[in-house]
Amino acid sequence: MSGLELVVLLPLLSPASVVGANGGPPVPVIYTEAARYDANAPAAGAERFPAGARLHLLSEGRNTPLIPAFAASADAAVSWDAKRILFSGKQRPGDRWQIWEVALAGGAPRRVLTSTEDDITPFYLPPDRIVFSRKGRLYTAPLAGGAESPLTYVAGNQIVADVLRDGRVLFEGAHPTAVRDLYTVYSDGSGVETHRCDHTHARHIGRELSSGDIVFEAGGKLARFTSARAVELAISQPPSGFAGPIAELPSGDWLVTWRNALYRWTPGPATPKEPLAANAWQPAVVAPRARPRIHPSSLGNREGANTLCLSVYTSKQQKIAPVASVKVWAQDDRGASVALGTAPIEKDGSFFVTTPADRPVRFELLDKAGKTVAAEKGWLWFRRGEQRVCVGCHAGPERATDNVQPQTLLRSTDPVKLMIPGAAQ
Amino acid sequence: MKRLFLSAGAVAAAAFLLTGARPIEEHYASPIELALSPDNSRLFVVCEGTDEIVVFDTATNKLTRRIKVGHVPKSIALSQDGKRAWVANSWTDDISEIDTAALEVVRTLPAGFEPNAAIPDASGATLYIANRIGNDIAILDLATGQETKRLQGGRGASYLTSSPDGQRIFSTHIYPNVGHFRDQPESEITVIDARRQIVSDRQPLHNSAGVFHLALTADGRLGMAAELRPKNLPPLAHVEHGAVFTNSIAVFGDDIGGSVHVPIDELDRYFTPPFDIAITPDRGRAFISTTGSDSITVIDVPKMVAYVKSLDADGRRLLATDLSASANYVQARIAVGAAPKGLALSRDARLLYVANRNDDAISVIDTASNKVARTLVIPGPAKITAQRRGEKLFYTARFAFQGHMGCANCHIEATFDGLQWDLEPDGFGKDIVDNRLLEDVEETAPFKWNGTNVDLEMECGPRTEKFFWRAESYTPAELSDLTSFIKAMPLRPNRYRPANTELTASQERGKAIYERTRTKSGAPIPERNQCAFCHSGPHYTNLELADVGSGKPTDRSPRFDTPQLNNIALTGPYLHDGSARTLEEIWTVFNPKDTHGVTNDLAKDELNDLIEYLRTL
Repeated sequence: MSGLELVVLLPLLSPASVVGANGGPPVPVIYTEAARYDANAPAAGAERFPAGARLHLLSEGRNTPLIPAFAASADAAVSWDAKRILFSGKQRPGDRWQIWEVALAGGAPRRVLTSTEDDITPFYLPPDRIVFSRKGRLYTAPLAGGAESPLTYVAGNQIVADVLRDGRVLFEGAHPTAVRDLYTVYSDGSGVETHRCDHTHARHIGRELSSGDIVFEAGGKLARFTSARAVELAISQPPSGFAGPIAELPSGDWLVTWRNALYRWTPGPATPKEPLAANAWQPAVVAPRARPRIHPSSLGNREGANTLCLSVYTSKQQKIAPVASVKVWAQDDRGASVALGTAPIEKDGSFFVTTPADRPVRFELLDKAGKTVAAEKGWLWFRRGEQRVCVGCHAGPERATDNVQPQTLLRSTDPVKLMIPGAAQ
Repeated sequence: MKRLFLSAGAVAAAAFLLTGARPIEEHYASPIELALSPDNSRLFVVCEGTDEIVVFDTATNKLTRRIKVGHVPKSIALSQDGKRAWVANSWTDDISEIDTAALEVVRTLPAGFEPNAAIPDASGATLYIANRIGNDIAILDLATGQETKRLQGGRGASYLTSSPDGQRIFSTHIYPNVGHFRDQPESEITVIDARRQIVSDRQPLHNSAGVFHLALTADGRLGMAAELRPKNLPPLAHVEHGAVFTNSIAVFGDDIGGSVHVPIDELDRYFTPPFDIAITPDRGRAFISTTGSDSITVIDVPKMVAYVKSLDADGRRLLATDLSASANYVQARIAVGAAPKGLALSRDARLLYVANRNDDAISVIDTASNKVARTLVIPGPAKITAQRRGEKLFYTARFAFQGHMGCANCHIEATFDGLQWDLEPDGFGKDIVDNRLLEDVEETAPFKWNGTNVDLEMECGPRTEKFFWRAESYTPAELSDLTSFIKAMPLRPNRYRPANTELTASQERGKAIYERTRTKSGAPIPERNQCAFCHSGPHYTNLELADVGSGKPTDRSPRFDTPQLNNIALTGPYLHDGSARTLEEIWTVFNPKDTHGVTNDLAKDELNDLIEYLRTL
């Protein structure tokens, strides 16, 4: 469900009777209670919880506010040892959303960051950092507090969705085709790409299951990406009414928000029954889990980023007519588009360029006459010192690298430098 | 008791001095291949770590016999009637013939250099032997026990299988055939006409390197070979999207019409390296062991065939790089023990036995449920040593991002891969490096061709994590274990050094050239340009960098680590970037100014002598 939700009052059952592993002890669950939740708000940079929000803890048959002293709280992320949570909260009604951490055993919340912006959707990022969203971009910061660093470098109303077990950050962001989609990026901001490259419709806040599948909401229905397929797979489910992220219980069942209430649900056509809580969103299971892996950054100490494209003709989106050069655009410090020049494309479709880093760039393919044959609709970025090999132009994540020696490297192993004069890049 | 202990210690010390490597602390069974008796009552397990065949009673699942064979056995094959079994002993260059009734070795047969497989023909009169270092396939008359013929195989000929009708013998090889510099690797399936005992075909496996077992369906209309598909030509800037390896089966035969590379990976998970293949008699399913991934991949064969047939020529070409294709035919992935290698499928196809090399155990899979029903354990040392833990780390792919690869992907079975790679740190297209043998390397620091890694801990630690695995890797304890294993890796026997230690006349002449200080005209050769100056010491390296004029414009520095020369005959191509296809080309092509030793005054025969000597090192 991708719009404003109305308050629905539902009878509450004892959570301890339904939340728990098979035959095991109950598993505490944290959720966000909110009268209204707008999943599309991040796309507009708007408030997701216009009527306020409060974290609640379902544990041992009791449903209690988790941060009662706060005016608002949401976005609970449980630490890997299940002893602490990160959340975004407002101490007083007029405050900005800020990142806090609290021990589940008790004690006062600790403010992780102090900023004048709304900081939301925090997640733990190994080994000792957090990743969160601010003004439509992602940032990381030390968990202990300190200076934050941008993780994304293109505007797109991005919002953190999850930290995957392989260490990448999964996030939801805008695509130039105007639909929201899921992207991944390494924890140093390099290697950004769409998780699956089809952009057929909007997808919101995916969460990774223990199987590695990523489940997300799209048009009020749940769907999944698997490792085996390049396309979205349908999930057997009742008619639409799902919203927000899901959480996986140790039993394999899911916690879902369906028609504004939180349910334990076994995926299938059966309608969720026996709501655990009304007006409940963003479930998070309080159970230990494996820490995601740390990404060892290989960013080099050099200006710009090197991009090697193996063949522009490898594209699943369109058949590329013969091209002769690639034109690189970047955004300058004021956000204006600047054409940086061109680099030759070899007969095999390969090119090798150094582009500005840590700012938006995009590529355009030109024919011999200099006429645009194909152009990226949106912007992407590379990190300073990043080196990247692209299989093609929108080849899709399913297209593996072919074992070829690119002709561009036979011409020269030095990339064509296409930089913004005088700019930090 | 004390004296005995000291004696054992002295033996270990002697072994250390002899090999130059750390002594092996313990011997683990390390089962690598399996065979079932025709009635399926017994399971024969090849244990390369303890030089034995272990026999299990499949009814009781009890270990019933341990049969000592030659050193480092690599395979076992039974006669059709099950009365005889042949075991290829790779380090003693012979074949143990076993009487399966008595469960005793009754004869030891000769083989070529490093036999890796031996299978009988349909009549049982002839034995085919794939010799890995010899790169050939020997044909042995079982009546006389004498070799009658030797056929050229692919480089690193290692695996053999017979067509169901016995008319053809197929061989695969683990190293690509040596080609031109930076060409795509080429491998082959060598097809032997069993009646005429000649090579009747060499089916090309384009862009494949590291081809392991091959299996055929019972009707002989479909063949499958397990293969690695390396990406050694483009720069390695990351591992996702199959950027370093993809894993496939080469499928060929009448049912396919030609051959096609069928991937078994997924977009976010890799199953590597594929090693053995077992096909059900009804050709409904194929099981593939993937050693680094600790799993078995189950293929629905009819679905795979139908999928391949649905593709046009372009689709077949692109199939090799389609990571989403496997969803169309992979039925299951079954988790097993550490480093699954050889497979054996029961006649009724209900049970699949899997040799978990690094667990010293056999997984028995119920193929109806695709679950491990039981595990057969081969008793061994109670203590798991650091070297053994390191060995497990060496083979596993779990450290690389998305399980992409392990050490053993490039250092195939702890050796090398015959490939040249373009690694990222030095820039794209620069500093192309040839992969080197790992054996007996402890005392050969620094490492890497530019000598930047001062020890193995640096080589295997942060550098590997950052530029190969691209994911959080070893803890300090794990790194210590891994390097402990690598340091203990012994040098395999040198096949060119005469047993009596006396060099042949040619080798003696070559030695004189190697050690000479003057040219043939009597001019002195500067000390630093004498072979024996840089290639000195027990490993034939002075451990220093040198500019021998072999640098290319794409190399950032013309100075390279002086490589050790032990067993140099095995590891072509040569030079830092593998540009010399043979030892001879080092001097005839890449030494025009006598900067890599003085060799231009040498005649062809003299270069041959020099090569003959180098082979003995």
